Amino acid sequence: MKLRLKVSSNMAIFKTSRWYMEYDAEKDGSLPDGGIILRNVRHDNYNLAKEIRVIGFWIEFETFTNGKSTAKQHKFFALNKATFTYGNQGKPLLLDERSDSALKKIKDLKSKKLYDKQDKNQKKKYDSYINILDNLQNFSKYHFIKGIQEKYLLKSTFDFENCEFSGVNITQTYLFTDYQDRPAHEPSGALKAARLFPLVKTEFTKNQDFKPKEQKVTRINSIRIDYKFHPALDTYLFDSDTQEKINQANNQKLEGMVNGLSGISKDEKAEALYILKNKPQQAGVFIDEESVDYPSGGLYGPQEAVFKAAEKPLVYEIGGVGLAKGMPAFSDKDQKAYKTWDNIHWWGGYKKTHIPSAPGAFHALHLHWRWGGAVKKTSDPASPKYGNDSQFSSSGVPSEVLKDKRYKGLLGPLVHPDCWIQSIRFAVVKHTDKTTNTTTKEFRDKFADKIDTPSTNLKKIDQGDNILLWYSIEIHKKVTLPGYTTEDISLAPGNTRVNIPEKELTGKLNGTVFIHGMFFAHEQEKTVKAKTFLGVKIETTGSQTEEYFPNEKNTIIKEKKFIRDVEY
Amino acid sequence: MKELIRVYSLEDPIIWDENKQLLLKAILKAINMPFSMGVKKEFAFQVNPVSGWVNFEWQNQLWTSFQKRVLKTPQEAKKVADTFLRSLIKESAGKEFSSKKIPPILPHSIHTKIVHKSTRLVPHQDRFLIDHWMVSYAVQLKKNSTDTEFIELEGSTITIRIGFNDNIIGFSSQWRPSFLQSEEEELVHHHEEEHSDDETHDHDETQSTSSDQEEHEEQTIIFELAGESEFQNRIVPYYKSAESHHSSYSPASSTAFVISLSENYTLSGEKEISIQINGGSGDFAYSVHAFKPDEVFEEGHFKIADGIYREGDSKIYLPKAIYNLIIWVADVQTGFIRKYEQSIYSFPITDGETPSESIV
Repeated sequence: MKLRLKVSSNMAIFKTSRWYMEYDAEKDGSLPDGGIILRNVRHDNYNLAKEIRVIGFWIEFETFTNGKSTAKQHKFFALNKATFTYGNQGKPLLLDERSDSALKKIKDLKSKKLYDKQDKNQKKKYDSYINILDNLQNFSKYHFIKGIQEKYLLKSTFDFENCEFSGVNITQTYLFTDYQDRPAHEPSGALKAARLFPLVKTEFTKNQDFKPKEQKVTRINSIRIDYKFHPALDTYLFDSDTQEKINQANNQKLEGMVNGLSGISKDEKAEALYILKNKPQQAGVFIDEESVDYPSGGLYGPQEAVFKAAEKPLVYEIGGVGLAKGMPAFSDKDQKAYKTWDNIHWWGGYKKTHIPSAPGAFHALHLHWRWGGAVKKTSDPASPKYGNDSQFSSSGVPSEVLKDKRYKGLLGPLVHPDCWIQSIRFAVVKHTDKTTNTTTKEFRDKFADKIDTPSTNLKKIDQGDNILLWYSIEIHKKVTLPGYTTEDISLAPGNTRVNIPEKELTGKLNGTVFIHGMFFAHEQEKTVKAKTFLGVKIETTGSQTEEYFPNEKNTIIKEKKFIRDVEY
Repeated sequence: MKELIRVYSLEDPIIWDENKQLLLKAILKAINMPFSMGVKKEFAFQVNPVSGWVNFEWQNQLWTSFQKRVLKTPQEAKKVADTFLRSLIKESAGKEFSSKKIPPILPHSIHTKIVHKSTRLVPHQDRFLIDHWMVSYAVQLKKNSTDTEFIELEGSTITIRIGFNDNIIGFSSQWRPSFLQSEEEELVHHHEEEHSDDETHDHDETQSTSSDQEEHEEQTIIFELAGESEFQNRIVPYYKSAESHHSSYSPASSTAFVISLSENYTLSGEKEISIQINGGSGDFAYSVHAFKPDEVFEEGHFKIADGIYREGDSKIYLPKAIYNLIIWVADVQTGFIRKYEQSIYSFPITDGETPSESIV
């Protein structure tokens, strides 16, 4: 059960009891440019991703002269050996079994006859039970979490006059958990999954020579971490769970496929070739609802009860905002308000052959950086009992901010409290031979062709395609809540308007991102007896069909836009 | 007449871990491969010492870079998988196993059913190849000695991968060692407790007491198998119910219990976590541990508290951080042990503190 590591030329294998992956390595086992680049990630032989990597870091510097902003610059720090000194001579650390003997602990457990009923005297010995429970919580034997880590120290100091920080250290950690249903991955609590945490920790080092009262001062506004994910979940050529019932016609098709694609129709051959060549993937994006009208939710299906917006599967490539400086809503320059996307589901799928439950995601990769208020238990007896679990309803955003009227009563995102002012941007695009491991100063600029000339450059992906997820998290030092005017009826008539000034809040640039992790489940779809407005019925956990709202599929096709934000 | 339901005993998986070679021998025999120490390299075989989950891979036959001749139809694939299951059950119920009192690798008894779930044709992820067939099964357990009903064992999965012709190239089982000895307990009848006080944060897993038939109808009884590295010494029944798409679990027998947490901030700025246990005998010992995902490499895991459970009074306090909280509970009357795990985002704001003061 030991974590195994095998190094060959340009590649090392990281293997736990059920996780398998490769990562790029030099012949001596040290990491190359790019840091920890995971490839061919599988869990229990279910494929998950072809590649997972961090591209680098964009830092925004702002220079002030006599207190006035005189320059803003973005500088890119690629994750490579020219920019960073790798810790431990480039050899990644492994979170492995500790030195205390697993066997000894196992024997301890056995001697306590945990699997037998206790006699009456033993029953009352709480202390001995607590001792037993403590033995159960043992990393040596209960290896429920494994990981790989590397630290990177910026080689040069920041090249800015009188900068508040001299440099930055980055810690890249991937954690992999065992397959279990706790902590609950989604509010139904019915889903076992393995978790993957692609964590990045930032630590800016203070400039000891920094003089804050000098005429010229340089401060750092933000650091942006850009990820590239290339998920590649299994797309089956035949699946008795979701495809048509086995019949003779189907058998002929399958026989044709396994016999070198002979003796089958042209269309069937084209379909099989497409799946074999592209391993088509589909993804869906969702905005959670903040409150649920349970009777109508039961009537129209759980998906419309719990999602404010859904595009499943994505019709076109998409770029979106997941969080705007810690806020789940934002306004454009015309003061039009938008709600940010909350989660992405990803699965191996071709046309409509396999659309996993949403809510649910039984064989899918899903990442949620925020849950909507609909998840919470309320006084409504039909509200979800799981929803107040901290992993859904708590947030690293300070409670004072959450309570502010300008947060609109929304649930906060799952961000680390040290660096809660985060912006999340993402893009799901086709992988092509021209795909490069680069990003741009403005995240959206990488996709400018799709934004500016969608008629020719925006690709349709709803049938399933070889697609990538670009995921960007920016940690900001400050966010400003806008001022607003309100009414106070306790004031004198005719003078009840009160101007609430804008409010500047400050967070830290140091902290860890992607703390919510991502979940990989490979379960059979499940059914439950469910109480609905119309009575009790057997139903799937969520919808297994296409879902498009508030914009219908035809509208999305007609508008053909890369940025598909949803109005608040 | 009282309705009864079984509680099944599990054996310590260490017995499988200590007899790994015997298990591998049985698997190889079931796939018609000679067992010898010399062939070990191409076979990866593991038994999780905590859960007993078994993993077998014929490594150089999985994800091959050449096209294997795979079976033509799902019926053929299922037939091969069925045959393998039968052989493995026979091999692991043989003399060598019984003389050493080793439970069979797969449940083999009139008290269980292994039911087919799906058959899939799996392409190679990187290459233009069909790699193998995958056939999946799940376990069901008999409800009681008189009823003919079998109940789903939630969390149980048996997966068989078939490569060239009828070669079994992968076998993975989410099942635990057991001779399927059982005791029968009275089926507890429940209905939902109506909680109107949102502040109680009652969630997750609840117990209630009425036997209202209409409410009972929407609940499904399931047996539960714990996760990959989770200790489990009994298989006990729960009610699984759903409103909208949300499921909840509540105990269906006197041994079963469920654990939940409620969270509140204190004036001192810490997060107060209150442990709630519903079901069981009411006589519990508990121990709370945690790790911080962002610091686990440096800190590992750590113990937070332990004690004798008292309803409404078993509390822990957490300063600012993100935790993966692990609560172990033992029912000292029955010996049944259960784990509960939850992520906790603790970001208390003390009096007078404002977020804007948190400068790097």
